[in-house]
Amino acid sequence: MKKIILLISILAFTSISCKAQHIIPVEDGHKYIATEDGFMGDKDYVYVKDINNYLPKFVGTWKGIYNAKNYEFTITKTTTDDGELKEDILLMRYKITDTNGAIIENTLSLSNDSPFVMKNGYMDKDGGYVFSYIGQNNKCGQNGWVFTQVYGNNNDKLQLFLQVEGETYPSCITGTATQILPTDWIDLTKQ
Amino acid sequence: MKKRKKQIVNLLKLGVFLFGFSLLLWNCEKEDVIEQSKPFSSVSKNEILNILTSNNTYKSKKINYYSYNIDDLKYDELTNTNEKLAVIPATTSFENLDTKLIFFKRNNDIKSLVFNVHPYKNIETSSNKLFSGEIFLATINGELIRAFRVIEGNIIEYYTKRREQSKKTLLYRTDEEKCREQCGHSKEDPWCICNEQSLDNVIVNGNTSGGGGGTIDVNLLDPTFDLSSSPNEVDTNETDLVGWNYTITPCSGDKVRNTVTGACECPTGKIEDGSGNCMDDPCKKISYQISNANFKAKKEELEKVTGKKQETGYVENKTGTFTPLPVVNGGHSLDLNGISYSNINGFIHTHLNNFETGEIDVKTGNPKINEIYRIFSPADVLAFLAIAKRSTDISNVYATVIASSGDYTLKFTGKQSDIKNLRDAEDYRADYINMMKKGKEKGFLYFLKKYIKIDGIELYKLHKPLFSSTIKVQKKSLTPNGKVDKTECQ
Repeated sequence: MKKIILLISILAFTSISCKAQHIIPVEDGHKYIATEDGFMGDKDYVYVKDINNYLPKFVGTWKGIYNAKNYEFTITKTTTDDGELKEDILLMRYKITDTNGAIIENTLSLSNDSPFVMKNGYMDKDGGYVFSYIGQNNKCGQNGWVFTQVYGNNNDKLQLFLQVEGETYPSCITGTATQILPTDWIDLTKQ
Repeated sequence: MKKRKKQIVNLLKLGVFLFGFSLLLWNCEKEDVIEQSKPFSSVSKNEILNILTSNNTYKSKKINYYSYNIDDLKYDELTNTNEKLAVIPATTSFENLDTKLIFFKRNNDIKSLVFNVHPYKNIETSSNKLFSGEIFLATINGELIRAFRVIEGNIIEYYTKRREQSKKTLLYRTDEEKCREQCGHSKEDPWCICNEQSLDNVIVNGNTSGGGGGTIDVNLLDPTFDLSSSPNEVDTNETDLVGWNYTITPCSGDKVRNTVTGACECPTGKIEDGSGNCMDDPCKKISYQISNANFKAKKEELEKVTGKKQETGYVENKTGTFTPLPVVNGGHSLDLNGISYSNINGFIHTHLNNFETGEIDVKTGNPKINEIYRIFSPADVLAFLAIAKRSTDISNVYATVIASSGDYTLKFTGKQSDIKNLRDAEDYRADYINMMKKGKEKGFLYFLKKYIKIDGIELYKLHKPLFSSTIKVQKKSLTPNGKVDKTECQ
């Protein structure tokens, strides 16, 4: 009898303390992004989860050259949870140098919550990953979406380009900024 | 009208019963005297006219505090007697009071009383038909002598005339919590029979019981519970004539008094903004706007260009004319710079459809698609707030976004002085995009709540129901548990 009571208590406690979790596979992200319902819909708690292990192939350091600039991108995987939306996500940092090695931009050491670390992304319908991009000169139009796709027999190649949104804000007084990320596909190699 | 009549009847029943019962009490105490020498009788119309013409004036300010029509005189049954009670409906400056002048004759001495009732709610709509509210009793020339607070047929408290009269008012409306507490009122009750003023508050100790049919059984043992007051017994000292000399503070601005609750409210078609002023109901305003020919033309024009790769839009000047917004940075955004926010009512612009980036996926060969959040951006919100802050009539302020997935309008019903402490629009971008993953509407509403933090920014969706060509307006808001609530505008 005591065991039954204990079991009922445990079940009751579990049902009270656990939120019903709705899982969305991370590769379905494109179906939800920019829609009216988004990931949440009318759910209380959603986990956008990398059930099928799509994200690890993006993780690593990728290097390439484009328009006389050296590009180094590092992609990491992490999980965020704001109590309502839990997500397996990718973060992307980068370093850009010119042919002389002079640094044009370097976000490699920035913390995860820095706006200049690319995040807030989703997997597109081709299995690529799209990052939200905010540059240092965001107010003058350094903003948009960075599209990436891993390819090659050993998943050792990454294509990447910036789709400029270019929203220029009222505080911009220096004119439209030059984009420092490649605005056409760039081929990068895994290090 | 019928309902109102019924209510009056019920209230009168209450009044008569209360009045009659008090007489009964008096009757019980002095039974032998009444039986022998003080019979009750009815008062004639001429006798009433004589009283009213000689008494219905404030001696201090010469202001009538009630008005009546003698032709409305009627005679009601007086409980526990064979005589009739003369009753004349009256009105006072207190719009929520149901007022009756009542007269009877006792031992050939005419007794008169002003009987005021303030119902908390309509008896007819209450579940048990029992009266809840306040009753104020005054002499025929305006001296408040007694008041009662009644809940569900029970007298909870009564208030008697203070011994030390002051020139302060007997009654007043106030929102001061302290006063309401002293009077035993709830926080929500805008009325206050304040014992700080000229009435002493007496708690009734179990001498009441509930009655039915809108009447109250009263068993007040207070010996001063003699509701009648002979005209020649009235103290003509100015300091006594204070109760009904009080001029109620008029409702501010456009507000009108609710005749049932007594509260100052915005009239139909208007709502109260964050500053306590009345403004046009956004629902009505948007409905009017979308039927306005000039606005409609711009809206329809913009609906045809959401497929472009550059945004298009207009600002609406205060004169009602529209000025095109310049596009910037290859058309990815519109330039509100250089526009005098104080000269415009708002703006209407497109947010684009998803579009092909021109790049092809290396693995699948599919074109890469740029997904667009087709709702207000942080820059849109800040521009809208800048207009609202400078507006002399926030009812007119708006921002509208036209998109293939649905049009939205922002309205502001908050407090203009709350529009402050905002960051630059670009500083909101990261948080905005993070919120938008939750859903277009939910994310936007969360963004307003968590990051803009200014009350009164309201989101409306303009939509056409299935098989309908009529545009409907739907308010979108966040419920306490974070869901998007939609309310159709009527």
